[in-house]
Order: sequence, then C-alpha cells, then structure tokens
Amino acid sequence: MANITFSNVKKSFTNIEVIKNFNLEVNDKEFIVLLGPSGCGKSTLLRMIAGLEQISEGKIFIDDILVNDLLPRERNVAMVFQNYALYPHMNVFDNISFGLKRIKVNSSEIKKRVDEVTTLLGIEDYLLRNPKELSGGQQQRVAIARAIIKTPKVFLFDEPLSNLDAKLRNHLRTEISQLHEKLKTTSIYVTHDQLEAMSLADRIVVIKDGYIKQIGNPKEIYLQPSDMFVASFIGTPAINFLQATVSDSGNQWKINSSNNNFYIDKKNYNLSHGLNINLGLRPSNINTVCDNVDINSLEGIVRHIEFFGQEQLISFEKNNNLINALVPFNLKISKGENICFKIDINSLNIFDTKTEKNLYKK
Amino acid sequence: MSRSFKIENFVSQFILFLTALMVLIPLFWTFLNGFKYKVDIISVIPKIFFTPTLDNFIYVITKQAVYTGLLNSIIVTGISVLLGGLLGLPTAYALARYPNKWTNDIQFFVLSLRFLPPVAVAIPIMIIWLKLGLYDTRLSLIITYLLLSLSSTVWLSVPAFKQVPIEVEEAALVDGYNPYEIFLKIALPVAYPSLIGALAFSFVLIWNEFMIALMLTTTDAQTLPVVASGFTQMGRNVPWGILNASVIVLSIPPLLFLGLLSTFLDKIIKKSLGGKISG
Repeated sequence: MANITFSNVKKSFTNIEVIKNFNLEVNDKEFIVLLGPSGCGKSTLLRMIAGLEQISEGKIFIDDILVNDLLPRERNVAMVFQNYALYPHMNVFDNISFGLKRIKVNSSEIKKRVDEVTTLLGIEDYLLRNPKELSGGQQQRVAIARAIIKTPKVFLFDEPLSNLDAKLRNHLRTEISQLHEKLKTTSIYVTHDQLEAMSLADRIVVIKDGYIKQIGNPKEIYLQPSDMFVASFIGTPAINFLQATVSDSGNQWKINSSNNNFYIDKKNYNLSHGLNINLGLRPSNINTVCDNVDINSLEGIVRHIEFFGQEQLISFEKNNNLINALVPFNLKISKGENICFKIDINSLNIFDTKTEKNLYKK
Repeated sequence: MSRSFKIENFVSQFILFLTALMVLIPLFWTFLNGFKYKVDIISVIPKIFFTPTLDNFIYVITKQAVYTGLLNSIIVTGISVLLGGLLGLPTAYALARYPNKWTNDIQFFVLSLRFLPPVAVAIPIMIIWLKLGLYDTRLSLIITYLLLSLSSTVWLSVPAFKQVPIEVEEAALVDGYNPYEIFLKIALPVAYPSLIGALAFSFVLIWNEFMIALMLTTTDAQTLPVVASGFTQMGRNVPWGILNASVIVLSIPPLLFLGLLSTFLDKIIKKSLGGKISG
C-alpha cells in the first residue's frame, strides 16, 4: 500500500523530450489509468516508476521515499507487460515463484502462496505447463499472478490487455477490476483504450505529447472534457463538433451554427460576444426526435445507418458535415430522409475554436 | 494454383536432394575407398564392387601419432572453445544489451580478427612463441586459437542474445534480479539453442584448423589435421587408401564430440531449470 508522487518529472531521449514537467499525486489504494494515444509518453512514465528507465529530471516518491536512484527491486513494485514477458524456459509455477526465490522465501511458503494466487486467477491446473502451451489470456493471468504474489506496494500495468481478443479483453478487464477491489493495492495502468480506462479507473490521467491534458474521474472526463483533444479521445462513437459563433442575448448566450440557434444560460460558460466556438455534442445525447426545426434543435439528411443491436448509429448531413446520433433501434428511419433532433443544452460542451479549451465555468 | 504449387514443391525437393547428394557422394566414395586396395582405387573405371581390406584402417589406427594428435586436438580445441565461450558469451551479452558508442567498433574489431589470412599472421605468431619458448606447446596453440574462437563466438552470439525479448529480462529485473543473475538465469537459457550453434561452429572451425597448427607445431603439440597431412608425405606414391581411411577415422571424433556436447548441455539446461516444482 502506498501513495506515489511525481514532482516535476521530465524525461528526454537524446534530444527529444518525451515527458514534460509531469506532476501527479496518486493516493494510497487508488487505481490510476494513464490514457493517451501511442507515443504520448505514458509507458515511459510507467517504466520510470518501475526503475526500468532513468528519470531525467524531477523526483518520484513511492510511499514518501525518493526512488529516483533505487534499483527496480528496491522499489517494491510489480509490473505486468503488454506481451506478458513470461520466462519462456520455465513452467508456470517457476514463472510465478521466480521473484520469491530471489528473496529466499522457503519452499513451503512459496507453494502456499502460488496455490493462493493461481486459485484466485483460475490457473491452478496449468502449473506444470510452459508458457508456450498456454493461450494469450492464460499467459496474461500467469503474468498477473507473478505480479501479485510478491504483494508489492504498487502494481504497474503496461497495456496488459491489448494483445488479447475483444471478448477476452472485456473478461480480464472485469477480473482486474475485481482483483483491485480485493487487494486494494495502488495501481497504475497504462492504456490507449478509453473504454478500459473508463471502466477501471478511480481517476484517469489523459496525456498527450508528454503533457497532462486532464486529470479526473471517468465521469468528469467524459462529461466535462478539458479540451477538444480529450473530448474526441474519450467516448465511442466519437463526439461531434459543430462550428458556431456566440452572440449576446440578454441573460442568455445565443449560439448560432448556420440556421440553428441554441440558447444557453450565461452563468455556466465563459463566453463573449462574437467568439468563434466549437460545439461538442456526444452522439448518445442526440436521440430525441422533434417534429420541426426550432431553437435548440438540429436537422439534416440521413446518409448512413449502422445497426448496433439495442441502438443504431445515424449519420446525418448538416452543412457538408456528417453528424452522428445514437438512437434507439426501433426508430424508423431510412437513408435520404430528413431528420430533426431536439438538443439538451445541458449536455453541450463548448470549446474555444482558437485555444480548443472547454469554456465551462467551474 | 495447387498444381503449380505441387510443381514448385517438387522442384525445391529435387534441388535439396541434389545438394544432399553433392555432399554425401564424396563422403560415401571416401568411405568405400578406405576399404580398397590401391589397384581398385586407381582403376580407370570406378569400382563399386571390390575385395575389401582393413589394412588401411589398421595402419591408421595403429599409428602412435594419430593418438597424440587426437589427444592434442581434444585438449587444444576443447579448452580454446571453452575459454572462448566463458569470455565470449558475456562479451556478446554486454554488446547486445548495453550498447554504447563503441559497440559497433568493438563488434567490427572482433570480426576483423578473422579478416587476416592465417598465413599472414602465422609467421609473426610463430616468432612470438619461439621467443617466449612456448613453440610447439599446447598452451601456445590454445592461446592462438582463443583469438579465433572468441571472435566467432562473440560475432554469432550477439544476435542470439538480441533475440531474447527485452521485456522478459525487464520482468526479471522487476522480480528483483541483478544484471548478472539475469544473464545467467534468463538470457543464457533462453538464447541457449542459438548459442550452442555458435559454440559448435567455433569448435568445428578450430578442430579443422590446419595452417596455424602446421606453423606452430612440429611434434609434441601436433593436432589431427597436421597428423593426417603427414600421411601424404610418404614418398612418391600417394597412399590413397590410407588417406581415405584416415579421413573417415579422423572425422569420427568431432561428430561424436558435437553430439555429446549438445545432448550434455541440453540435459544440464533442462535439469537446472525445468520441472523442479518441489523447489
């Protein structure tokens, strides 16, 4: 159990700065997900905590102990790798117990603990198999068992599910979540999959180009993304953006996007007259059909329909833009028809076109 | 589609078969000639059926020089390959895993040890050993051969170590092992099949080395290839039967040796790492 502190952490490879002044407090027992596109530096951060990568500048504390110059083994962390990284020449038992043997745990204790973790992860029948003889999901379970058997202060997960097929990924995601419920070990989990991040995290740290874009719980990140990058990175199907301009209208702001007008309460947003903005509209919030075009509504011609089961994704054209709407499966609509949606103005996100920042008043 | 595939398959099999024949027929012919009297060997029409004799083999086997040569070869080759492995494998691992600005130069230097033709270096080396009073000793041969085994071991082992997934070594690092333990417990056993190849290659290279051995030895430290070449120097009449028999006899030890070496190492690796679940 431990808290982790990043204080002005920087990392450069030769001349390229991949982490730029990273500050973060991870609380004890917290499940933090570092989320970002590939190459954003999230794995590098994880490797710096593990001690696999030197810290160029700044300090990392685990449990208030400065770990910058500590060896990986002195940090009391355990890591799960993307491609499992099992020892190919050892069977499952030896793989899991390899770390314990290093610290000279006696063999009966090793046996007991291996039994515990393998039962927990449902791999107790494969102890004598070699990694090659296991499926991807089983291999990753072995890797997780190898990590938890050492009862480390911190778990580090480096995209542990990205080599698995979709079904298995969902399954193991739930297992990891339940495991954290049970063990309560501080965890840092790196992924580029926003769904994984949303479902696992206590808090998500969205990273881009070595900078933190936003820190918050999944709800905050989804409902109030700090900028257009976060908004478009989180949520499937992706958020729609509509160009618009702001004008003053008494105690309300009038937002105009071609022939559509939206009226919003002044107290919620930092807007100014004549400002160019991008309206962020989640497809899941565009689902109430209206009869005729009015204020706070949006209309267009249906171009594509994708059937998802309970829902269908409708793409309708509006000023040469395609806007996606997620509507119930039983809504009868066909290509080429006109459609009009009522927009719940409370679900709108408003971004400054120039700075791309969310203009929501905190 | 499938028909052209079949033809392709047949052609490639056939080429493989031809290549195998090219290697095996001379060996087979040598083997036959070892059992022939000289008349049968030098007859204009090659003979497959002939009256066999064991004289050639008996001559080779009863020569004392063959045994001295065999012993010398085993000691010299064995020790220089062993030392080459002991020094070369850690070197290769360091080159593969801890690259610095000299890595490429070091690798090139190691390879360049093999650029010079043995003839060019043999005479200077001979003079060095003469001056040191170590000429015609196994020690001088071992040290000279160590240069050869080191360079081939390092050159062939670097890619073998690079093929070990880096994450596996990092996992061991997080598991608490230090770089030396990781070399011994992870890198060596994982890369071992390729490493055996590297060691076997330098074994064969040194076992068959002739030029340097000829220059650095006269009697005491003569290795098998030098001894074998001595059979041709018995007057004007080349003793073909004896030569053929000696080739067969002399190629048995390295075959046995390599076979033993690989099964032995195989067992060691399996024993020390596999299946000891009771701890």
